[in-house]
Amino acid sequence: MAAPVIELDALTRRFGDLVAVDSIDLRVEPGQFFGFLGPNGAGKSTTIKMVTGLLAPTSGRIRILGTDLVADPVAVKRQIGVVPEGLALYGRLTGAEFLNFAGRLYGLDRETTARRASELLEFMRLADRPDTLITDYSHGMQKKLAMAAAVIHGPRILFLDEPFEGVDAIAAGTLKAMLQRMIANGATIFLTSHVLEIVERLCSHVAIIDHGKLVAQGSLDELRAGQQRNLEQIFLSVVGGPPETAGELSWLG
Amino acid sequence: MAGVDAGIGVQEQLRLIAQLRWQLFRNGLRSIRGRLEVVSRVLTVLTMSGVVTAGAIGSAIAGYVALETHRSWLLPLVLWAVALVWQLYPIVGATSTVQFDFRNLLRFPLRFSSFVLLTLAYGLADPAAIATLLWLTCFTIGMLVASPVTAAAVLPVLVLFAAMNLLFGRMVLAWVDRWLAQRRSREILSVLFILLILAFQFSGPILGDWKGATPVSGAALLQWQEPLPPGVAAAALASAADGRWVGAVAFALAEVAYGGLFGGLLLVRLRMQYRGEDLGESNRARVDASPVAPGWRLPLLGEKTSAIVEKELRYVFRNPSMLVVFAVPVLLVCLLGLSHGSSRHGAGLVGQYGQFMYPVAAAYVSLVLLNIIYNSFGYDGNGIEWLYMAPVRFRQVLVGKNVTVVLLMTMNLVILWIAVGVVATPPGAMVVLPTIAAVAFLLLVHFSIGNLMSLQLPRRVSIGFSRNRVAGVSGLASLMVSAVSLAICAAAFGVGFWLGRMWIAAAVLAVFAVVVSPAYRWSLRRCDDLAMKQREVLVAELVRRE
Repeated sequence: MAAPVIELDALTRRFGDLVAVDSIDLRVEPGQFFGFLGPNGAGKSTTIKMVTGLLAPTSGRIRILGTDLVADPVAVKRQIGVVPEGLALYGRLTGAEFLNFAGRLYGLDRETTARRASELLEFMRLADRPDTLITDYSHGMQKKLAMAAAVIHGPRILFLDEPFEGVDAIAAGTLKAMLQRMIANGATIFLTSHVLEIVERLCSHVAIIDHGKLVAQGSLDELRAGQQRNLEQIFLSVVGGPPETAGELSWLG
Repeated sequence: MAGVDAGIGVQEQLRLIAQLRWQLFRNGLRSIRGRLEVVSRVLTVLTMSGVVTAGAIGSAIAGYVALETHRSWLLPLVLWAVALVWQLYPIVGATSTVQFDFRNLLRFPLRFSSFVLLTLAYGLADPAAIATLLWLTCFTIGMLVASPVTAAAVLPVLVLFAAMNLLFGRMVLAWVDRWLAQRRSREILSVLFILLILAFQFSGPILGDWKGATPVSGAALLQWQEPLPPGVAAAALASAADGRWVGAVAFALAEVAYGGLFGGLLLVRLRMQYRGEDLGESNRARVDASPVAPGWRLPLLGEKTSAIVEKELRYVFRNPSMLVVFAVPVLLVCLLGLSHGSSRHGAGLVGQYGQFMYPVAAAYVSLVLLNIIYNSFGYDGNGIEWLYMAPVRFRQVLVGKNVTVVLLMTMNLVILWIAVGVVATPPGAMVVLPTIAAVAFLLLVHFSIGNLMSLQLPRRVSIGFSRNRVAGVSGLASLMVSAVSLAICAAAFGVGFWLGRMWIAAAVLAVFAVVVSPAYRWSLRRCDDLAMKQREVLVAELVRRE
């Protein structure tokens, strides 16, 4: 078995009295398309922020590709790509200018950066807006650009926080095609999402977090445990379904 | 549609909206801040009521005196006062109060007539409108006491005048609102606003030059204002007072025409809002794709630092308020020349001390420009997360940002050199060299402190007009550092001038710069650790979640 590319040991994050992430242990193997699920406020975004260096853990250890994130963050960041919740874009640049900026910060030379930026803009169907500032892009366009910037250096691991939120079907199709191509080329993808159908279709492995604790983890087949259940049924059985509402809102519809 | 009525009347809709406003007010009282705001508003109302009462008494007296003693020039005076307060107060007040956006109501089944009525009713409920309507009422009473026979003309003319003011005010706000809704038009407005403020700042020296000119006479002023709405209303009143009824009717019709114009423009805007106009900026025309040009390669700088400098400079030149930083020093030099005799060999400050205009202007530029060093990440906004996710050290980022400031300062020094050369004489080497040494010293001092403060006390700054480019404490620190370091520079210049050897000033300041440089290197070394410690503060302050 290959060494895990993401290892979280007793990872914990507190905000005052609130324990947002409570001693999580997690392993992600190379080449996995890993879905990280949980209800709103379960601790998904907090976890992904800690793993990508946007938030300091209260305690615990994060190792990415065998390197400790706290000890050598620059070495880790060189090999990963991130699309955070806020997209982290510079609104006053054009798409091409931002990709030029991103590629060079990842250590690519000017020519390589420009060539890859052209290809990415073309692939994402953003190339026909060369003079439009990012602040004037639609949300879907911004998401595609953030994705392009996250992969311009060919990362070995890609972290995505809700990549399909607010994205139309065409853009979602583009993003999915790109992610599947990355997986085929040996990269590892770690994503959080509320859209269980997409996770079920794309991901090979899933972990579910609830109230800061990891409540389920494994391949989809392992989580099904031999039963004919879809991911939504697994998810609801683990985190609990909606409250009983029979008799309420009877006038609706 | 179970239980949904076929439709509710305008009266019911207005009642519901009034109830909504009342509920919003009550909910606002839940917080301490909300209660304090109410207290401050009550205090403001009490203070303002004194002013309003004085205005009401004055209007009544003016109305009475105007007709009783045939001082018709009082009529436009009162009407202009009413118009200016009615129109200007809401604009000034809008900066400090939360405005209610009627477009939020459009999601409900609101009729267009209700939408228009609400817009007008909100205009009438404005404190300035209430106060000025009171003044107009008192003005009417004063005139009617003096000449009851004019009632048939005075009442409709003043009602028309009030309606015209209401329509004009709402029309202006509706159109300004539309321009502010789009980035480009918003930025153009912000530049115009900055230029307006600058015009006020520089009006002193310019007016100083006009002291000898003939003052504008009151008669000429009265003539100029006549075709404008308050002038037209005043002319209608004056005609009625003199028994010229045809003239009164003609002027009243002109008033109606003005009202019709303002009302028409307002309706155009409201109709667009009601139809759900899309002011989004993402639907621009597409063009053929072309390959991406490589980024800038800057000499002596690595790839990452070059990328940061390129990004910073692009931001600067797309920021209208930063462009003012370049305009102000040139204006300053030109105005210094205007105020003290622009002749190349004239007397006065320029003639005697023209050589010092260059360092003085450079000092002024440093005051205006260098405070941005104390909030270096202010314009990064959401991009700050990118800096934390990328394999880049914060010392590299800050070096890139510092290099950008050096380039901006250099550009300013060149522009200043040209401006001083045009207004007086081109500054010679013995002025330029100590100035450059002083700027190097100033930059190193500000970088050493400002880089650390940028990480300690970040503040998100919006592109466009913003008075607060740095947090309060950082602003104070910037001011104090500027005061001390500029005093040192001034002392060095003074010594050089006194000895008649300006090269001494250049040498002393160059030595100071060299002495300060280890502090700069030390602060850069501290930046990486501090950035990691402060990452949650920076992200929380700078990143705006949609």
